[in-house]
Amino acid sequence: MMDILTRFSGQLLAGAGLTLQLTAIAALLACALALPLAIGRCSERGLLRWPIRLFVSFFRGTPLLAQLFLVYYGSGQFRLELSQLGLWWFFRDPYYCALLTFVLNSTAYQIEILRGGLRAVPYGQIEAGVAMGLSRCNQYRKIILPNAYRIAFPALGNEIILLLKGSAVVSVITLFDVMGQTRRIFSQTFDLSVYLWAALLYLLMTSAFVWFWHRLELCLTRHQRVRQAPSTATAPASKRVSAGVSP
Amino acid sequence: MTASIPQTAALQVENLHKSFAGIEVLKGVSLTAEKHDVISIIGSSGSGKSTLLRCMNLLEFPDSGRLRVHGEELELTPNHRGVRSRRFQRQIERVRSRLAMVFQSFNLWSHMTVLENVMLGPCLVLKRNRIEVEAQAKKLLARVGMLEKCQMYPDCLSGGQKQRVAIARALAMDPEVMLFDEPTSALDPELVGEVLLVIRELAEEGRTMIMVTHEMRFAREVSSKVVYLHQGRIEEQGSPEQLFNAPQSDHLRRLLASQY
Ligand SMILES: Nc1ncnc2c1ncn2[C@@H]1O[C@H](COP(=O)(O)OP(=O)(O)OP(=O)(O)O)[C@@H](O)[C@H]1O
Ligand SMILES: [Mg+2]
Repeated sequence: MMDILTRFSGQLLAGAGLTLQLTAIAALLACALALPLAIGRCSERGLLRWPIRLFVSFFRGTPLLAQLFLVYYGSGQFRLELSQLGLWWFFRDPYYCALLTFVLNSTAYQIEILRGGLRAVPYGQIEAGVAMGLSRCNQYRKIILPNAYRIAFPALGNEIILLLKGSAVVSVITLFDVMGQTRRIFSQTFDLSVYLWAALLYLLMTSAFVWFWHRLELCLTRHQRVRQAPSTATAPASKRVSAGVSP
Repeated sequence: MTASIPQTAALQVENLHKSFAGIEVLKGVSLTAEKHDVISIIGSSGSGKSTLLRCMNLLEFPDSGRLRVHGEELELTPNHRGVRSRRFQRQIERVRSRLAMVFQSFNLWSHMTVLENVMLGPCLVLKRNRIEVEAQAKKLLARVGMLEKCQMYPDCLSGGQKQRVAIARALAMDPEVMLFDEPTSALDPELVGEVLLVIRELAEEGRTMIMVTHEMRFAREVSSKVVYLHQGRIEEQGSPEQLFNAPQSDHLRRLLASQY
């Protein structure tokens, strides 16, 4: 069991590198795309809202594997057209196809997560900004988004973990992520324990991520944790007012 | 008040109408706040007091009427409610920046410290220098007795403290008129005093203020004018002595009787 690990640890680690790379790039790109789309999804204008709804329901409602096949094998059907457009180099490469699929899929989920966050921002806080004459852009920048992301934060972490595990599907389009490497090692050695090591590797990656995400969350929500005993807060207050307000 | 300066009202609304879902809540309200006026709006629940106040800074968009803030005039029609021109939007933002609102539920930004709450408006709306703004913000916080809490987050403050910070935040905008919507209604009785004390100081200092309040005794003491709103109309207005000592309308008489 251990000898599998010593013999193939390099390959497994390389696989982990690819898994992490795919997940990280896809999650970041999806994060950038999801923000404007989520805002559009909340917009009053149907013209903006409906296409986004359609996009989200497609990518949430179909299996990731099917999406990956659609992009990778489906694009092969349009080889000629894609070549003419100068895009064939992109769709020929399984790595780019996987990345595109993950970005689209994760964008769809992140739109929904962010939409929930945007809707949960306390309305009074937005109104306080509006009443002050804050421009729409500054309302988003200073009030709406900081609140929405904090609310959405745990769910976003969850989505990234799902993406990391889901990325194992790339092994079927000849990419050697953790799963791909594992399958190759198994086909060479017929030693089932390699799957155990792969599982542990996934567990290690997700655990590390959970730890990191949790630290980040603590940092972002420190304003909710610094509550102190209320009794010390109220008693001397009136005295301070009268002391403070001399003109 | 020299003669050379034309005497413009700080805030004037004319013939304001507002309906929600076909029910008319404001039925033609006109009100003028001269500089240094302290106007209390009283009335029973549902009479449209909050709506009137919120129409003044366009948190609610009136169906029709006219709004004048320190020389700037807005003619309001229903078609302004949807998509607005950029110029009109700018004008609205400018008017709002001249009117500071203090809410019943404080509405402090929970992810910002007390100091950041007070500094945001002057920095981003008035586009003033950050260092000056910080100095001024600290001065204002000291004034409302909240300076030593300036690095805290709103979640660790009591209701009265939150409202005092909200008042400092409003003051930081150096507003033409301050609007208060029942600033003490969400507070425990023992915290009401500290907030009223701050508001009283502002009144004595000559701030122009319009406040909706159920604190009749306080309204009587600090107001220069009291307005009684009943079912979307101003039924009676005048000096506090007139309204509280010799109310003309039956409704007001009944309201006052129920309060004491
Ligand atoms: N956003 C809204 N949508 C629909 N109806 C509303 C809305 N805001 C207020 N109303 C209605 O308008 C009427 C007046 O409300 P408003 O809040 O102005 O009363 P108020 O005088 O401030 O009462 P209170 O003393 O209870 O605060 C109420 O009947 C209320 O139901
Ligand atoms: Mg009200």
